[in-house]
Amino acid sequence: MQIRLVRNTGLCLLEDGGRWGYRHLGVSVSGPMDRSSFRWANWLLGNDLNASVIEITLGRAQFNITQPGQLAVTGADLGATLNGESLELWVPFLVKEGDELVFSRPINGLRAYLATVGGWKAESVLGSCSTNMRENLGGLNGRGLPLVEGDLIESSGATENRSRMMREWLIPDFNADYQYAVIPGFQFAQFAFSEREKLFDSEFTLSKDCDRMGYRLSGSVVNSSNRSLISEPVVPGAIQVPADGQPIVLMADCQTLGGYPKLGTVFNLDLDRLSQKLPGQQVSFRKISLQEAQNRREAFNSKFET
Amino acid sequence: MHRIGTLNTVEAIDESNWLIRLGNQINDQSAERVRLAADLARQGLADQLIDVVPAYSTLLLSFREPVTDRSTQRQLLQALADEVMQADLESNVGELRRVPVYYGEEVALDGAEVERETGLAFEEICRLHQSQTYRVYAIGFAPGFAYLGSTNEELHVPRKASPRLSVPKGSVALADNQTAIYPASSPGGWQIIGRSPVEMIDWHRDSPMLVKTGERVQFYAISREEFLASGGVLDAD
Repeated sequence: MQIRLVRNTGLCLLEDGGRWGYRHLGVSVSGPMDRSSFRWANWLLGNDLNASVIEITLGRAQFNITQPGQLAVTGADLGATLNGESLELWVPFLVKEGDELVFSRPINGLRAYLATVGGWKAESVLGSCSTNMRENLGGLNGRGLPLVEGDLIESSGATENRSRMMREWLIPDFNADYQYAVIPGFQFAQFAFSEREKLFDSEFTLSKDCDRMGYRLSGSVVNSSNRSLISEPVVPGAIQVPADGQPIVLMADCQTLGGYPKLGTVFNLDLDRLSQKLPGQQVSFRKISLQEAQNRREAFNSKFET
Repeated sequence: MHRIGTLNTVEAIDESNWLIRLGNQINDQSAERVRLAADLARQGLADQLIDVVPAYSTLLLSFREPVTDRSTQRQLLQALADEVMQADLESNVGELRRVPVYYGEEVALDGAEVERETGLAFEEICRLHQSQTYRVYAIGFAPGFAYLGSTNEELHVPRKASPRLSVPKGSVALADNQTAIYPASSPGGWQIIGRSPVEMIDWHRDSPMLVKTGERVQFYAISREEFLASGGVLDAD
């Protein structure tokens, strides 16, 4: 299986399960922005759930098939077509040499995941091929570069067909009204009650400053009295409140330490959904308990066990 | 078991991450506690942990799998934190690493600004910078970026009002009561007083980081010739 990226004005990145075990050296975890869709893409093909896939942000990309094989696309509906015909997402499909796979624009969600049987071949740096452009790590050649027009991307070689079908009700609708779950934590109790509740009482708009490192929200100003926090470890999902009171949700490529006060953590399955929203779209949050987070995580994990 | 004020807390951030707080100040005592807690966690929970991230006075433990029995886990981590808070900690145990710095005018990009901020002559700034050992309090911000402290009070300077878009690799810099070596070219707002030829991080070495959290660093001045001979790079004109 082999494909060539022939047209690309969006962002195509190789991502696997992430670069774990190096955060104490300042290396971020990276990995897919929408881990749920990423895992489903691998599951559909019977892959290791952390096998490498191509994360396609925004669309505007065309892949030509240069060797036949089996693929699956999950995540956002980016108006994908195969040889001009609308492509069904969330199901494995076969391709032959000369086929053209095109992703056009965001229709439902922002990031699609293109998986192949066995995963895509890429140099592993610190145990991962996940592309972190800021840290110059990962990607096709290990130097943190996104895929560019002309790149040939090959599958790792496995060809055994173990494809699966998933239940339709499990497919997320990123356009649906949704309240993203937040586990209050970090400095939450140090914010005044009236300030911290603004996170749950009002709508926020995703600003244009949204990238793989963080999503900056604009909306009610959340004032913090805690201005001199000693830098402490942060995780993807953590909600920082800088001096201007406009929260920033940390995303997959976030730094390892941060000095801004934080309100809590977006529950990771909902962080996956949040990463599918586009700048300018509105989002709102609700509070959940650790127990609810744990229950949802266990229920989600159990879906992959068949 | 008694708790020592509110300094020592164990908090679940989500279903697989725990934060242990072991102080609320940047000092040797907090740093020693974090170091001991990290060691104990790595020894006791090695197969369950996917990341152990120390900072100045806090430690993040990331578990491979979601923690299923939260109350048992909390008790266990609280016991670990209590043990650390009561431990008789030795100071200055970290290995000392001597790091060469070329303090030449062409690489001390903020020399004049630091002179203005501190009211000291540049020679005195360099002398003070070399006159003590620093502890590696934390590694973060970027791969291999080590926060070293605490600097002599006379060297305390604010970050630049507007960060540089690109700080040259190896730049030795000051900010607040900290000093650091930029491991790679990157944007940054610290005040630059010199450049080191050492590779702070090299993924091809057995031990990629030159220094580890808890270790000590002392700077020493080298000449332009020594800097270049050690592989140091000056800016291309």
